[in-house]
Amino acid sequence: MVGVPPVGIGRKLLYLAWSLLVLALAYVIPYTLLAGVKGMELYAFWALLAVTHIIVSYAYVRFGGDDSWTRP
Amino acid sequence: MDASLTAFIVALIAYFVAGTALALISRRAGVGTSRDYFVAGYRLGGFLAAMTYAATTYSAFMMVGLVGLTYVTGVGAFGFELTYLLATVSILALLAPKVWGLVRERGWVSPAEMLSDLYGSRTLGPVTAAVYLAALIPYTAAQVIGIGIIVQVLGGGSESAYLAGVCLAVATIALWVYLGGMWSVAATDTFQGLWMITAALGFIVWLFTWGFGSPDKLASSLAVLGKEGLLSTGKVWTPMIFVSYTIPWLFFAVTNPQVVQRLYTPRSKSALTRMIALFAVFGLTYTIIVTMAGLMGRALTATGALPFIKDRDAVTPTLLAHAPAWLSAIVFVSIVAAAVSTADSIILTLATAAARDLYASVRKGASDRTLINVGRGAAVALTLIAATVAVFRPGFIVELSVLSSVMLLPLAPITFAAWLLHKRLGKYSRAAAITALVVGFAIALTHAVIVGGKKALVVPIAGIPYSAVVLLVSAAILTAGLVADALSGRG
Repeated sequence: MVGVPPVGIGRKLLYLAWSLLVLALAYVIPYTLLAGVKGMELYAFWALLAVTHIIVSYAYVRFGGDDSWTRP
Repeated sequence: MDASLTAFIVALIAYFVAGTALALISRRAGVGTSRDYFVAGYRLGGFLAAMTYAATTYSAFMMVGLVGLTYVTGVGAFGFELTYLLATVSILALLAPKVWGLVRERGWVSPAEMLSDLYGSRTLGPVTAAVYLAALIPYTAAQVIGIGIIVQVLGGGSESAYLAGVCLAVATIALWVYLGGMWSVAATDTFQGLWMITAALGFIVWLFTWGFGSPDKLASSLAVLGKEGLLSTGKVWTPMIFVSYTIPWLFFAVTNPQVVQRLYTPRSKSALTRMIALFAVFGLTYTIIVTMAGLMGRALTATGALPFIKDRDAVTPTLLAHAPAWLSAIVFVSIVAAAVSTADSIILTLATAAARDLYASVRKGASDRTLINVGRGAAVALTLIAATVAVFRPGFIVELSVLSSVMLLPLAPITFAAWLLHKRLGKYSRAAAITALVVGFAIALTHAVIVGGKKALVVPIAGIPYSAVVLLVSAAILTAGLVADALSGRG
Protein backbone atom coordinates (compact mmCIF):
# COMPACT_ATOMS: atom_id res chain seq x y z
CA MET A 1 0.00 0.00 0.00
CA VAL A 2 1.31 3.42 -0.92
CA GLY A 3 1.95 5.60 2.16
CA VAL A 4 0.01 8.81 2.61
CA PRO A 5 2.36 11.81 2.49
CA PRO A 6 2.31 14.17 5.47
CA VAL A 7 -0.22 17.01 5.19
CA GLY A 8 2.41 19.76 4.88
CA ILE A 9 4.54 18.12 2.19
CA GLY A 10 2.82 19.84 -0.76
CA ARG A 11 3.31 23.26 0.77
CA LYS A 12 6.89 22.38 1.64
CA LEU A 13 7.64 21.50 -1.97
CA LEU A 14 5.88 24.64 -3.15
CA TYR A 15 7.91 26.77 -0.75
CA LEU A 16 11.11 24.98 -1.79
CA ALA A 17 10.32 25.71 -5.45
CA TRP A 18 9.60 29.35 -4.57
CA SER A 19 12.93 29.63 -2.70
CA LEU A 20 14.87 28.19 -5.62
CA LEU A 21 13.08 30.56 -8.00
CA VAL A 22 13.93 33.55 -5.80
CA LEU A 23 17.60 32.55 -5.63
CA ALA A 24 17.70 31.92 -9.39
CA LEU A 25 16.22 35.37 -10.03
CA ALA A 26 18.72 36.97 -7.64
CA TYR A 27 21.56 35.47 -9.69
CA VAL A 28 20.21 35.64 -13.25
CA ILE A 29 18.34 38.94 -13.56
CA PRO A 30 21.38 41.16 -12.74
CA TYR A 31 23.28 39.58 -15.66
CA THR A 32 20.40 39.56 -18.14
CA LEU A 33 17.46 41.96 -17.88
CA LEU A 34 19.27 44.41 -15.61
CA ALA A 35 22.78 44.10 -17.01
CA GLY A 36 24.41 47.50 -17.42
CA VAL A 37 21.60 49.56 -15.88
CA LYS A 38 22.52 53.13 -14.99
CA GLY A 39 19.87 53.84 -12.35
CA MET A 40 18.87 52.21 -9.06
CA GLU A 41 16.82 49.48 -10.80
CA LEU A 42 19.11 46.62 -9.75
CA TYR A 43 19.26 47.79 -6.14
CA ALA A 44 15.46 48.14 -6.09
CA PHE A 45 15.02 44.72 -7.71
CA TRP A 46 17.15 42.95 -5.09
CA ALA A 47 15.48 44.85 -2.24
CA LEU A 48 11.95 44.10 -3.49
CA LEU A 49 12.85 40.46 -4.06
CA ALA A 50 14.06 40.24 -0.45
CA VAL A 51 10.97 41.97 0.96
CA THR A 52 8.68 39.65 -1.03
CA HIS A 53 10.65 36.58 0.04
CA ILE A 54 10.52 37.56 3.71
CA ILE A 55 6.74 38.08 3.55
CA VAL A 56 6.18 34.74 1.76
CA SER A 57 8.53 32.97 4.18
CA TYR A 58 6.78 34.41 7.21
CA ALA A 59 3.41 33.31 5.82
CA TYR A 60 4.87 29.85 5.21
CA VAL A 61 6.29 29.34 8.72
CA ARG A 62 3.29 30.92 10.40
CA PHE A 63 0.46 29.27 8.49
CA GLY A 64 1.81 26.53 6.26
CA GLY A 65 4.78 24.23 6.09
CA ASP A 66 4.92 21.43 8.57
CA ASP A 67 1.57 20.18 9.79
CA SER A 68 2.78 20.28 13.38
CA TRP A 69 4.08 23.80 12.85
CA THR A 70 0.60 25.30 13.20
CA ARG A 71 -0.01 23.66 16.58
CA PRO A 72 2.43 25.23 19.05
CA MET B 1 42.44 64.64 24.57
CA ASP B 2 40.26 65.61 21.60
CA ALA B 3 36.47 65.58 21.63
CA SER B 4 36.18 62.45 19.43
CA LEU B 5 38.36 60.36 21.73
CA THR B 6 36.60 61.61 24.86
CA ALA B 7 33.18 60.83 23.37
CA PHE B 8 34.39 57.39 22.28
CA ILE B 9 35.73 56.53 25.75
CA VAL B 10 32.49 57.69 27.41
CA ALA B 11 30.38 55.65 24.97
CA LEU B 12 32.65 52.63 25.40
CA ILE B 13 32.40 52.77 29.20
CA ALA B 14 28.60 53.10 28.99
CA TYR B 15 28.50 50.13 26.60
CA PHE B 16 30.70 47.96 28.83
CA VAL B 17 28.88 48.83 32.07
CA ALA B 18 25.41 48.32 30.58
CA GLY B 19 26.41 45.06 28.89
CA THR B 20 28.01 43.67 32.05
CA ALA B 21 24.97 44.64 34.11
CA LEU B 22 22.75 42.79 31.62
CA ALA B 23 25.05 39.76 31.74
CA LEU B 24 24.81 39.71 35.53
CA ILE B 25 21.02 40.12 35.53
CA SER B 26 20.65 37.35 32.93
CA ARG B 27 22.17 34.87 35.42
CA ARG B 28 18.89 35.03 37.34
CA ALA B 29 17.40 32.87 34.58
CA GLY B 30 19.45 30.04 36.09
CA VAL B 31 22.55 28.22 34.90
CA GLY B 32 22.30 25.10 37.04
CA THR B 33 22.86 22.57 34.26
CA SER B 34 25.20 22.44 31.28
CA ARG B 35 22.14 22.70 29.04
CA ASP B 36 21.23 25.96 30.79
CA TYR B 37 24.75 27.28 30.39
CA PHE B 38 25.36 26.30 26.76
CA VAL B 39 21.90 26.66 25.17
CA ALA B 40 19.88 28.59 27.78
CA GLY B 41 17.96 25.44 28.70
CA TYR B 42 16.03 25.72 25.38
CA ARG B 43 14.13 28.61 27.02
CA LEU B 44 14.87 31.77 25.01
CA GLY B 45 11.96 33.95 23.92
CA GLY B 46 11.55 34.84 20.23
CA PHE B 47 12.95 38.36 20.55
CA LEU B 48 16.10 37.30 22.43
CA ALA B 49 16.61 34.38 20.03
CA ALA B 50 16.25 36.67 16.99
CA MET B 51 18.61 39.31 18.32
CA THR B 52 21.30 36.84 19.31
CA TYR B 53 20.98 35.16 15.89
CA ALA B 54 21.33 38.55 14.16
CA ALA B 55 24.12 39.94 16.34
CA THR B 56 26.05 36.67 16.01
CA THR B 57 25.69 36.68 12.22
CA TYR B 58 26.43 40.34 11.51
CA SER B 59 30.01 41.11 12.53
CA ALA B 60 32.20 44.20 12.23
CA PHE B 61 32.40 43.28 8.53
CA MET B 62 29.09 45.08 7.95
CA MET B 63 29.93 48.62 9.09
CA VAL B 64 33.54 48.44 7.95
CA GLY B 65 33.98 45.80 5.24
CA LEU B 66 30.64 45.99 3.46
CA VAL B 67 30.47 49.80 3.46
CA GLY B 68 33.93 49.79 1.86
CA LEU B 69 33.12 46.95 -0.54
CA THR B 70 30.03 48.82 -1.76
CA TYR B 71 32.03 52.05 -2.05
CA VAL B 72 34.64 50.35 -4.24
CA THR B 73 32.57 47.82 -6.23
CA GLY B 74 29.05 49.30 -6.28
CA VAL B 75 25.63 47.68 -6.09
CA GLY B 76 26.97 44.14 -6.63
CA ALA B 77 28.06 44.17 -2.98
CA PHE B 78 24.40 44.57 -1.99
CA GLY B 79 23.47 41.51 -4.05
CA PHE B 80 26.35 39.57 -2.51
CA GLU B 81 25.10 40.24 1.03
CA LEU B 82 21.45 39.82 0.12
CA THR B 83 21.85 36.35 -1.40
CA TYR B 84 23.05 35.25 2.05
CA LEU B 85 19.85 36.60 3.60
CA LEU B 86 17.57 35.05 0.95
CA ALA B 87 19.16 31.62 1.37
CA THR B 88 19.22 31.81 5.16
CA VAL B 89 15.55 32.75 5.40
CA SER B 90 14.68 29.79 3.14
CA ILE B 91 16.83 27.36 5.14
CA LEU B 92 15.38 28.57 8.42
CA ALA B 93 11.79 28.41 7.16
CA LEU B 94 12.22 24.92 5.72
CA LEU B 95 14.48 23.23 8.25
CA ALA B 96 14.61 25.13 11.55
CA PRO B 97 11.30 23.61 12.79
CA LYS B 98 12.58 20.12 12.04
CA VAL B 99 15.89 20.75 13.81
CA TRP B 100 14.08 22.39 16.73
CA GLY B 101 11.91 19.27 17.10
CA LEU B 102 14.87 16.87 16.81
CA VAL B 103 16.77 18.82 19.47
CA ARG B 104 13.96 18.27 21.93
CA GLU B 105 13.86 14.55 21.16
CA ARG B 106 17.62 14.00 21.33
CA GLY B 107 18.78 16.64 23.83
CA TRP B 108 21.72 18.03 21.83
CA VAL B 109 23.72 20.93 23.12
CA SER B 110 26.49 21.23 20.53
CA PRO B 111 26.27 21.05 16.71
CA ALA B 112 29.12 18.49 16.57
CA GLU B 113 27.21 16.33 19.04
CA MET B 114 24.20 16.59 16.71
CA LEU B 115 26.17 15.30 13.72
CA SER B 116 27.74 12.53 15.78
CA ASP B 117 24.33 11.39 16.97
CA LEU B 118 22.57 11.56 13.60
CA TYR B 119 25.35 9.68 11.82
CA GLY B 120 25.86 7.29 14.75
CA SER B 121 29.58 8.02 14.70
CA ARG B 122 31.80 8.71 17.71
CA THR B 123 34.59 9.95 15.42
CA LEU B 124 32.61 12.54 13.48
CA GLY B 125 31.94 14.76 16.53
CA PRO B 126 35.57 15.33 17.55
CA VAL B 127 36.66 15.72 13.88
CA THR B 128 33.93 18.32 13.37
CA ALA B 129 34.93 20.09 16.59
CA ALA B 130 38.55 20.22 15.35
CA VAL B 131 37.42 21.77 12.05
CA TYR B 132 35.37 24.36 13.98
CA LEU B 133 38.45 25.31 15.99
CA ALA B 134 40.71 25.55 12.94
CA ALA B 135 38.21 27.64 10.96
CA LEU B 136 36.81 29.86 13.69
CA ILE B 137 39.77 30.80 15.88
CA PRO B 138 41.27 32.94 13.03
CA TYR B 139 37.81 34.48 12.47
CA THR B 140 37.49 35.30 16.17
CA ALA B 141 41.02 36.72 16.22
CA ALA B 142 40.05 38.92 13.27
CA GLN B 143 37.21 40.40 15.35
CA VAL B 144 39.63 41.14 18.20
CA ILE B 145 42.08 42.70 15.71
CA GLY B 146 39.24 44.89 14.41
CA ILE B 147 38.55 46.22 17.90
CA GLY B 148 42.27 46.82 18.46
CA ILE B 149 42.51 48.81 15.22
CA ILE B 150 39.49 50.99 16.10
CA VAL B 151 41.00 51.90 19.47
CA GLN B 152 44.38 52.42 17.80
CA VAL B 153 42.97 54.79 15.15
CA LEU B 154 41.03 56.82 17.70
CA GLY B 155 43.96 56.76 20.14
CA GLY B 156 46.36 58.41 17.73
CA GLY B 157 47.82 55.33 16.08
CA SER B 158 50.06 54.07 18.89
CA GLU B 159 50.77 50.38 19.46
CA SER B 160 49.81 50.73 23.12
CA ALA B 161 46.35 51.91 22.04
CA TYR B 162 46.06 48.80 19.85
CA LEU B 163 47.00 46.57 22.79
CA ALA B 164 44.51 48.39 25.01
CA GLY B 165 41.83 47.61 22.41
CA VAL B 166 42.81 43.94 22.35
CA CYS B 167 42.71 43.80 26.18
CA LEU B 168 39.29 45.45 26.20
CA ALA B 169 37.99 42.93 23.66
CA VAL B 170 39.36 39.96 25.57
CA ALA B 171 37.98 41.14 28.91
CA THR B 172 34.53 41.81 27.45
CA ILE B 173 34.26 38.55 25.50
CA ALA B 174 35.56 36.32 28.30
CA LEU B 175 33.52 38.03 31.03
CA TRP B 176 30.23 38.00 29.16
CA VAL B 177 30.61 34.33 28.19
CA TYR B 178 31.83 33.32 31.65
CA LEU B 179 29.03 34.93 33.62
CA GLY B 180 25.96 33.22 32.25
CA GLY B 181 26.86 31.29 29.09
CA MET B 182 24.10 31.49 26.49
CA TRP B 183 21.90 33.56 28.81
CA SER B 184 24.43 36.36 29.19
CA VAL B 185 25.52 36.10 25.54
CA ALA B 186 21.90 36.34 24.33
CA ALA B 187 21.12 39.25 26.67
CA THR B 188 24.22 41.19 25.66
CA ASP B 189 23.69 40.28 21.99
CA THR B 190 20.22 41.81 22.19
CA PHE B 191 21.63 44.98 23.70
CA GLN B 192 24.41 45.06 21.11
CA GLY B 193 22.08 44.31 18.20
CA LEU B 194 19.87 47.24 19.19
CA TRP B 195 22.96 49.45 19.52
CA MET B 196 24.17 48.33 16.06
CA ILE B 197 20.92 49.02 14.23
CA THR B 198 20.30 52.33 16.04
CA ALA B 199 23.83 53.55 15.32
CA ALA B 200 23.52 52.51 11.67
CA LEU B 201 20.23 54.41 11.35
CA GLY B 202 21.80 57.50 12.95
CA PHE B 203 24.78 57.19 10.59
CA ILE B 204 22.69 57.01 7.42
CA VAL B 205 20.38 59.87 8.47
CA TRP B 206 23.41 62.06 9.26
CA LEU B 207 25.14 61.06 6.01
CA PHE B 208 22.07 61.98 3.96
CA THR B 209 21.62 65.30 5.77
CA TRP B 210 25.29 66.26 5.72
CA GLY B 211 26.16 65.03 2.25
CA PHE B 212 23.01 65.65 0.21
CA GLY B 213 20.26 67.45 2.10
CA SER B 214 17.46 66.50 -0.27
CA PRO B 215 16.26 63.41 -2.15
CA ASP B 216 16.78 65.21 -5.49
CA LYS B 217 20.42 65.93 -4.70
CA LEU B 218 20.92 62.31 -3.64
CA ALA B 219 19.26 61.03 -6.83
CA SER B 220 21.37 63.24 -9.08
CA SER B 221 24.54 62.22 -7.22
CA LEU B 222 23.70 58.51 -7.51
CA ALA B 223 23.07 59.02 -11.23
CA VAL B 224 26.76 59.87 -11.59
CA LEU B 225 27.56 56.42 -10.18
CA GLY B 226 25.42 54.87 -12.92
CA LYS B 227 27.67 56.42 -15.56
CA GLU B 228 30.68 54.83 -13.80
CA GLY B 229 29.03 51.39 -13.95
CA LEU B 230 28.63 51.14 -10.17
CA LEU B 231 24.86 50.63 -10.22
CA SER B 232 25.04 47.34 -12.13
CA THR B 233 27.17 44.24 -11.61
CA GLY B 234 29.74 45.95 -13.84
CA LYS B 235 33.25 44.73 -14.46
CA VAL B 236 34.01 43.74 -10.87
CA TRP B 237 31.11 41.43 -10.10
CA THR B 238 31.52 38.99 -12.98
CA PRO B 239 29.33 35.87 -12.70
CA MET B 240 32.38 33.83 -11.57
CA ILE B 241 33.27 36.29 -8.80
CA PHE B 242 29.65 36.64 -7.71
CA VAL B 243 29.19 32.86 -7.48
CA SER B 244 32.55 32.35 -5.76
CA TYR B 245 31.83 34.99 -3.11
CA THR B 246 28.22 34.03 -2.47
CA ILE B 247 28.40 30.21 -2.24
CA PRO B 248 29.99 30.05 1.24
CA TRP B 249 27.40 32.49 2.57
CA LEU B 250 24.43 30.66 1.01
CA PHE B 251 25.14 27.81 3.42
CA PHE B 252 26.29 29.86 6.42
CA ALA B 253 23.15 28.89 8.39
CA VAL B 254 24.07 25.18 8.26
CA THR B 255 27.86 25.31 8.29
CA ASN B 256 28.61 27.76 11.09
CA PRO B 257 28.07 26.13 14.51
CA GLN B 258 27.45 29.41 16.33
CA VAL B 259 24.25 29.95 14.32
CA VAL B 260 23.22 26.27 14.19
CA GLN B 261 23.37 26.21 18.00
CA ARG B 262 20.93 29.12 18.12
CA LEU B 263 18.25 26.97 16.48
CA TYR B 264 18.20 24.92 19.69
CA THR B 265 17.35 27.82 21.96
CA PRO B 266 13.77 29.11 21.29
CA ARG B 267 11.38 27.99 24.02
CA SER B 268 8.46 27.21 21.68
CA LYS B 269 7.62 26.95 18.02
CA SER B 270 5.97 30.37 18.10
CA ALA B 271 9.23 31.75 19.57
CA LEU B 272 11.05 30.10 16.67
CA THR B 273 8.66 31.76 14.19
CA ARG B 274 9.32 35.14 15.78
CA MET B 275 13.05 34.47 15.69
CA ILE B 276 12.99 33.82 11.94
CA ALA B 277 10.77 36.81 11.15
CA LEU B 278 12.62 39.34 13.33
CA PHE B 279 16.02 38.15 12.16
CA ALA B 280 14.94 38.56 8.51
CA VAL B 281 13.68 42.10 9.12
CA PHE B 282 16.84 43.02 11.07
CA GLY B 283 19.08 41.56 8.35
CA LEU B 284 17.36 43.33 5.47
CA THR B 285 17.24 46.66 7.30
CA TYR B 286 20.89 46.50 8.33
CA THR B 287 22.03 45.41 4.86
CA ILE B 288 20.14 48.24 3.15
CA ILE B 289 21.50 50.87 5.56
CA VAL B 290 25.09 49.66 5.27
CA THR B 291 25.13 49.39 1.48
CA MET B 292 23.35 52.73 1.05
CA ALA B 293 26.07 54.29 3.23
CA GLY B 294 28.69 52.85 0.88
CA LEU B 295 26.86 54.14 -2.20
CA MET B 296 26.34 57.58 -0.63
CA GLY B 297 30.02 57.77 0.26
CA ARG B 298 30.96 56.89 -3.32
CA ALA B 299 28.45 59.42 -4.67
CA LEU B 300 30.15 62.10 -2.59
CA THR B 301 33.46 61.09 -4.16
CA ALA B 302 31.96 61.01 -7.66
CA THR B 303 30.62 64.55 -7.28
CA GLY B 304 33.91 65.86 -5.89
CA ALA B 305 32.74 66.39 -2.31
CA LEU B 306 35.17 63.77 -0.97
CA PRO B 307 38.54 62.58 -2.29
CA PHE B 308 38.72 58.95 -3.43
CA ILE B 309 39.39 56.58 -0.51
CA LYS B 310 41.83 53.91 -1.65
CA ASP B 311 41.71 51.69 1.44
CA ARG B 312 38.17 50.34 1.49
CA ASP B 313 38.32 49.56 5.22
CA ALA B 314 38.94 53.27 5.78
CA VAL B 315 35.67 54.41 4.14
CA THR B 316 33.55 54.38 7.31
CA PRO B 317 36.22 56.06 9.50
CA THR B 318 36.79 58.70 6.79
CA LEU B 319 33.08 59.51 6.60
CA LEU B 320 32.80 59.54 10.40
CA ALA B 321 35.64 62.06 10.63
CA HIS B 322 33.09 64.61 9.34
CA ALA B 323 30.34 63.55 11.79
CA PRO B 324 29.61 65.07 15.22
CA ALA B 325 31.84 63.54 17.90
CA TRP B 326 28.90 61.92 19.74
CA LEU B 327 27.59 60.20 16.59
CA SER B 328 31.04 59.07 15.57
CA ALA B 329 31.53 57.59 19.06
CA ILE B 330 28.21 55.72 18.94
CA VAL B 331 28.96 54.28 15.49
CA PHE B 332 32.50 53.24 16.44
CA VAL B 333 31.18 51.53 19.57
CA SER B 334 28.54 49.82 17.39
CA ILE B 335 31.42 48.33 15.38
CA VAL B 336 33.01 47.14 18.63
CA ALA B 337 29.61 45.68 19.62
CA ALA B 338 29.29 43.87 16.28
CA ALA B 339 32.74 42.34 16.74
CA VAL B 340 32.17 41.36 20.38
CA SER B 341 28.71 39.88 19.73
CA THR B 342 30.09 37.69 16.95
CA ALA B 343 33.23 36.71 18.84
CA ASP B 344 31.57 35.81 22.16
CA SER B 345 28.97 33.65 20.40
CA ILE B 346 31.72 31.77 18.57
CA ILE B 347 33.73 31.38 21.79
CA LEU B 348 30.68 29.99 23.59
CA THR B 349 30.05 27.51 20.76
CA LEU B 350 33.70 26.43 20.70
CA ALA B 351 33.62 26.08 24.51
CA THR B 352 30.53 23.88 24.11
CA ALA B 353 32.45 21.70 21.67
CA ALA B 354 35.42 21.52 24.06
CA ALA B 355 33.24 20.49 27.00
CA ARG B 356 30.64 18.28 25.31
CA ASP B 357 32.47 16.82 22.31
CA LEU B 358 36.04 16.57 23.56
CA TYR B 359 36.07 16.47 27.39
CA ALA B 360 32.84 14.49 27.85
CA SER B 361 33.92 11.91 25.27
CA VAL B 362 37.07 11.23 27.31
CA ARG B 363 35.56 11.55 30.81
CA LYS B 364 32.35 9.56 30.63
CA GLY B 365 29.76 10.49 33.24
CA ALA B 366 31.22 13.94 34.01
CA SER B 367 28.77 15.95 36.11
CA ASP B 368 26.92 19.00 34.82
CA ARG B 369 28.86 21.24 37.19
CA THR B 370 32.15 19.86 35.82
CA LEU B 371 31.02 20.41 32.21
CA ILE B 372 30.07 24.01 32.98
CA ASN B 373 33.46 24.60 34.60
CA VAL B 374 35.24 22.98 31.65
CA GLY B 375 33.19 25.15 29.29
CA ARG B 376 34.05 28.29 31.25
CA GLY B 377 37.74 27.37 31.34
CA ALA B 378 37.70 26.62 27.61
CA ALA B 379 36.00 29.95 26.89
CA VAL B 380 38.68 31.88 28.76
CA ALA B 381 41.48 29.83 27.17
CA LEU B 382 40.08 30.20 23.64
CA THR B 383 39.63 33.94 24.12
CA LEU B 384 43.25 34.20 25.24
CA ILE B 385 44.39 32.21 22.19
CA ALA B 386 42.45 34.57 19.91
CA ALA B 387 44.01 37.51 21.77
CA THR B 388 47.51 36.11 21.36
CA VAL B 389 46.92 35.75 17.63
CA ALA B 390 45.58 39.31 17.59
CA VAL B 391 48.65 40.67 19.36
CA PHE B 392 51.10 39.10 16.91
CA ARG B 393 48.82 39.55 13.87
CA PRO B 394 50.39 36.92 11.60
CA GLY B 395 49.33 37.81 8.07
CA PHE B 396 48.21 34.34 7.07
CA ILE B 397 45.88 34.08 10.06
CA VAL B 398 44.13 37.31 9.11
CA GLU B 399 43.80 36.06 5.54
CA LEU B 400 42.47 32.71 6.71
CA SER B 401 39.77 34.46 8.73
CA VAL B 402 38.25 35.66 5.45
CA LEU B 403 37.93 32.05 4.35
CA SER B 404 36.41 30.55 7.50
CA SER B 405 33.09 29.98 5.76
CA VAL B 406 34.79 28.18 2.86
CA MET B 407 36.65 25.91 5.29
CA LEU B 408 33.33 25.08 6.95
CA LEU B 409 31.59 24.53 3.60
CA PRO B 410 32.04 20.71 3.57
CA LEU B 411 29.65 20.69 6.53
CA ALA B 412 26.81 21.87 4.28
CA PRO B 413 26.06 18.53 2.54
CA ILE B 414 26.93 16.62 5.72
CA THR B 415 24.47 18.64 7.79
CA PHE B 416 21.70 18.62 5.17
CA ALA B 417 21.99 14.83 4.89
CA ALA B 418 21.94 14.50 8.68
CA TRP B 419 18.76 16.57 9.01
CA LEU B 420 16.90 15.10 6.06
CA LEU B 421 18.15 11.52 5.71
CA HIS B 422 19.21 10.56 9.25
CA LYS B 423 17.12 7.39 9.21
CA ARG B 424 19.01 6.16 6.13
CA LEU B 425 22.58 6.80 7.27
CA GLY B 426 24.69 3.67 7.59
CA LYS B 427 28.38 2.76 7.86
CA TYR B 428 29.25 3.99 4.35
CA SER B 429 27.61 7.35 4.99
CA ARG B 430 29.50 7.64 8.28
CA ALA B 431 32.84 7.01 6.60
CA ALA B 432 31.93 9.27 3.68
CA ALA B 433 30.93 12.13 6.00
CA ILE B 434 34.29 12.06 7.79
CA THR B 435 36.17 11.76 4.47
CA ALA B 436 34.13 14.58 2.88
CA LEU B 437 34.83 16.85 5.85
CA VAL B 438 38.57 16.17 5.91
CA VAL B 439 39.06 16.32 2.11
CA GLY B 440 36.88 19.42 1.68
CA PHE B 441 38.67 21.22 4.50
CA ALA B 442 42.07 20.21 3.08
CA ILE B 443 41.17 21.58 -0.38
CA ALA B 444 39.93 24.85 1.13
CA LEU B 445 43.07 25.28 3.24
CA THR B 446 45.57 24.16 0.58
CA HIS B 447 44.21 26.50 -2.09
CA ALA B 448 44.24 29.38 0.41
CA VAL B 449 47.85 28.69 1.37
CA ILE B 450 48.98 28.36 -2.28
CA VAL B 451 47.34 31.45 -3.78
CA GLY B 452 46.93 33.50 -0.56
CA GLY B 453 43.81 34.07 1.49
CA LYS B 454 42.87 37.35 -0.14
CA LYS B 455 43.07 35.95 -3.68
CA ALA B 456 41.63 32.51 -2.98
CA LEU B 457 38.04 33.51 -3.71
CA VAL B 458 38.88 35.13 -7.05
CA VAL B 459 41.28 32.46 -8.35
CA PRO B 460 39.28 29.52 -9.71
CA ILE B 461 40.33 25.87 -9.68
CA ALA B 462 40.14 24.42 -13.22
CA GLY B 463 37.87 27.28 -14.20
CA ILE B 464 35.40 26.53 -11.42
CA PRO B 465 34.94 28.94 -8.48
CA TYR B 466 37.06 27.74 -5.53
CA SER B 467 34.15 27.60 -3.08
CA ALA B 468 32.10 25.58 -5.59
CA VAL B 469 34.93 23.04 -5.89
CA VAL B 470 35.02 22.58 -2.09
CA LEU B 471 31.27 22.13 -2.01
CA LEU B 472 31.07 19.81 -5.03
CA VAL B 473 33.91 17.54 -3.90
CA SER B 474 32.55 17.10 -0.38
CA ALA B 475 29.01 16.60 -1.71
CA ALA B 476 30.24 13.98 -4.22
CA ILE B 477 32.08 12.00 -1.52
CA LEU B 478 29.07 12.06 0.78
CA THR B 479 26.72 11.09 -2.07
CA ALA B 480 28.89 8.07 -2.81
CA GLY B 481 28.48 6.96 0.81
CA LEU B 482 24.74 7.50 0.74
CA VAL B 483 24.42 5.52 -2.49
CA ALA B 484 26.57 2.70 -1.08
CA ASP B 485 24.34 2.51 1.99
CA ALA B 486 21.23 2.49 -0.17
CA LEU B 487 22.61 -0.33 -2.37
CA SER B 488 23.69 -2.40 0.61
CA GLY B 489 20.48 -1.92 2.56
CA ARG B 490 22.20 0.50 5.02
CA GLY B 491 25.23 -1.70 5.52
